[in-house]
Amino acid sequence: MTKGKIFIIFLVALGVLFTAGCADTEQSEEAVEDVIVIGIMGPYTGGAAAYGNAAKDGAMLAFDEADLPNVRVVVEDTKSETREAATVMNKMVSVDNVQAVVGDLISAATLAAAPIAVQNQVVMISPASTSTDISDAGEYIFRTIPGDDGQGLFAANAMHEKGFTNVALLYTNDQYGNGLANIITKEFTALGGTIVADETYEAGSSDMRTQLSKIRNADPDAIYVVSNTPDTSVALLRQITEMNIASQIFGSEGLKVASILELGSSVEGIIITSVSPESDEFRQKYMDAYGEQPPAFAAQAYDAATAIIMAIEQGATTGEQIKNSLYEMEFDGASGHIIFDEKGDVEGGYVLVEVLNGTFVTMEE
Amino acid sequence: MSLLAQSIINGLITGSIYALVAAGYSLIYSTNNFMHFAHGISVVAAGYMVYWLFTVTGTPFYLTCILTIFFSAFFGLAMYRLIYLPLQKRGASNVILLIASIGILIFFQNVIQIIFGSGVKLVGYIEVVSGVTFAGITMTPLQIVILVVSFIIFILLYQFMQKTKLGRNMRAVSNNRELASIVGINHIRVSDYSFLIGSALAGVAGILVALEQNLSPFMGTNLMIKGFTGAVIGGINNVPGSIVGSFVLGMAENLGILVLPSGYKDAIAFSLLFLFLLFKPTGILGKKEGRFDK
Amino acid sequence: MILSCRDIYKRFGGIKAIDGCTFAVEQNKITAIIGPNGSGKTTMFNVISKLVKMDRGIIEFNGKDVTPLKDYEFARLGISRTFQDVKLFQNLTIKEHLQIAISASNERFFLNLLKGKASETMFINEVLDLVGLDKQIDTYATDLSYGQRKLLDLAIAIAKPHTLLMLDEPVAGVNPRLRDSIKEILRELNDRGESILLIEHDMNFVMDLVDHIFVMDAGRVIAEGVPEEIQKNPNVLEAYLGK
Repeated sequence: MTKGKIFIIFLVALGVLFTAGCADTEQSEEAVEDVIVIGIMGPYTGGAAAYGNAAKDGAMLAFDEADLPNVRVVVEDTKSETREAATVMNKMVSVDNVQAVVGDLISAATLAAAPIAVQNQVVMISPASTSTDISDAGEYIFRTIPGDDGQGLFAANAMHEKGFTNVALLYTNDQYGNGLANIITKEFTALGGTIVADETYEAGSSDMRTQLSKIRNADPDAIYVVSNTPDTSVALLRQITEMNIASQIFGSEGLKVASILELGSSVEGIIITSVSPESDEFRQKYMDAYGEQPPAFAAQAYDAATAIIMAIEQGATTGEQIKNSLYEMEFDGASGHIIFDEKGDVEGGYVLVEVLNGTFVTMEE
Repeated sequence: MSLLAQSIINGLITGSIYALVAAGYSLIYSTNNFMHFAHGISVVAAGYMVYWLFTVTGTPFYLTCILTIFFSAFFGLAMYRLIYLPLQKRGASNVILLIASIGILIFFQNVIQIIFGSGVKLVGYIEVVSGVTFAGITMTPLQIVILVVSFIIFILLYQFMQKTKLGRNMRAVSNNRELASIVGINHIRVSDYSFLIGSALAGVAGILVALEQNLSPFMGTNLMIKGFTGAVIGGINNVPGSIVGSFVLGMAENLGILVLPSGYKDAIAFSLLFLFLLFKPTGILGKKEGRFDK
Repeated sequence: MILSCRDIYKRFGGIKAIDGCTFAVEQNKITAIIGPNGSGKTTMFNVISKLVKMDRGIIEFNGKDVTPLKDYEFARLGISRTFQDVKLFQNLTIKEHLQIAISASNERFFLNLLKGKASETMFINEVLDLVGLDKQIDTYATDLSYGQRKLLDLAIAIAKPHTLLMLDEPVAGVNPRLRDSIKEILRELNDRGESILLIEHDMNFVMDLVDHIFVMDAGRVIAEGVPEEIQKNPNVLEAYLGK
């Protein structure tokens, strides 16, 4: 080993010791000051990154506005992967000592992290996970978005009311997709309709042509499409057009992204079942802060952060105290009226959003 | 009946996309004998280059295509000269080169995400309209173009590998690099060309994929896995065979889920990959490279 | 002197494979390097053809120092070499092997696609006739018998533009008839003015074919001279018997 190499290794070792030493002192100083650490977790890379980033921005807006001196926010990327969620939650609990977390978005990820949160008495408020399983995930698990039961019921009713009797389903083969499909099937058939085709695809696929061929073959008058990433939404809608499918298209929440509008006239007339839009006040605030319309889940994340902030302002300092505070809380948030029921869920409302003249237009009741 | 016909067409469409990726990958793998997994990012980067040149800066489409293919070719060459070759000179094993290539893929995926954002991008050169329907099957003109292009590439690659001096030299280097040097072949120069041509093919793939699908930063991984599988099925050392293998893969996936639940599509792909690796690693068209027994 | 090697040293770890080796090959002559197993003959060939890097020493080809050259650069100077364990391309045909040998030395890949096809085929057939390889040129190397592969190996060396042939045990493991045949071919080549350097185990093969012999043992030259002298040299006998 040459002298030069030894010297470089020595420098690197010094550097590592030095920075490690600095980091340590920082942490111990903070611990003395009695800071409450709040986490934000979500997918900032990977397929669901667009939603993750929107939620993060919405939550940070609330934290920046409140500017509480004894609150420190930690942000972690779960990379659109379920197993990352557990890893991240472990890290935030053991290393950062969080008391509450805004997140995750993907239902499977939230469910993966939930047991760790519950065990460590850390509150979780998800702004986007709609799987029905989350209602029973534990008393520390909350959400500011209504569960799938709500969206499924609403969708089945809407399609029935609009006179569609033969409906096909195309959905993701995961917790979210299966849950939604089950409820729609149950409700729609109870209302007298028929599900003529039931096709799944793997989340993240870009080619659903064969599933669409099968659906086309069953000749439905409407198709309900479930998607939770912008790229599959765009791919799906594009392929529906290219395959000359004439049925009316209904879509789940995840389709309401600006990207699909770039498909032009081919997406005119599709109808999306969406949670009630955010308040004008929030829309303006978001616009001022980030220079664009708030995407899906930004408002819900803002409300999740707000709920935690309000709990802290009322004197809560630990996860347990925050949890107790949440069950007593009630306020008008950016996404609607927030009051958590005994399972930590909110009721929320849904509307139909249609693509008209290249924009999303909320349909009147 | 028309569902079957449509599924076959779907299989051809899917297969042709895989074929575009597999062709360049196979050329590089066969010449250099290590897995250039980062080939996937050559395709995606080319797609984003088309997006940036055509949609963002408004460069005419034909010029965009030419620039993109050049860019891809040199991007691939840069990976060889700046990363793989230095590692090889230090005696790196093929496993290390594979790890390096995965690292390159991940690195540039994140670079693309930082530059372009994680949202999906559409190129918008061709308007999204319903396809042409005939005899119960529906296809768009672009899909027909992609099929034809992959067929042309197949023929060109076959002619290239069998009938040209460079193609022959690549096959020689692929089999015995030392002997190739002894007869006077500069194997580094041959590798240069393999990366240039293979990555130029990635450029072509990137252009067509950008038009046919939409762009997202992390799409390279899946494309590469499918392209790699197609190459294995066709015969890992048979360069034009990778195109045939890709079509087999596309067909198997689409016909398979006529019978199986649709969610099994990827499972079919991986099963085929494992079956071939286990039982016929030389693929459909690969020759069993005989051993010399003394 | 077409090839000159002076004071070559090469060690692999603790083993001194070549320990101060010096010899020279004269133009238009057949020169042989003989010696017991492990004396460093093949390593010497590898060092000369640049497959192995020597620790120190000087190698000159036609008077010019070739030390800084890479393996293919050295080959392009006009040296053909064969291997003791016949090296061929398992995925190529006889014809393709010879095509590569003929044209590898220049890098103008994309020119001459169709030009000279006929003359190339003619030349290939001439070389195959010369070595007596009587097989279809579209046969794959893997379908040849051992003897046929040896001949193909030789054919490649001849087809490649060269002024020096380096042959590593050209008759190892071949039947007596083929052995005589190859001896004749080498004589014929030498008559045409070619310089040949060969490594050989078989003293008898070498005795009536070769002009000059170098004997190697333990990495250095212990004797040199014409065959008659070498046969009577006591050091040589000791080297072979003492091992």
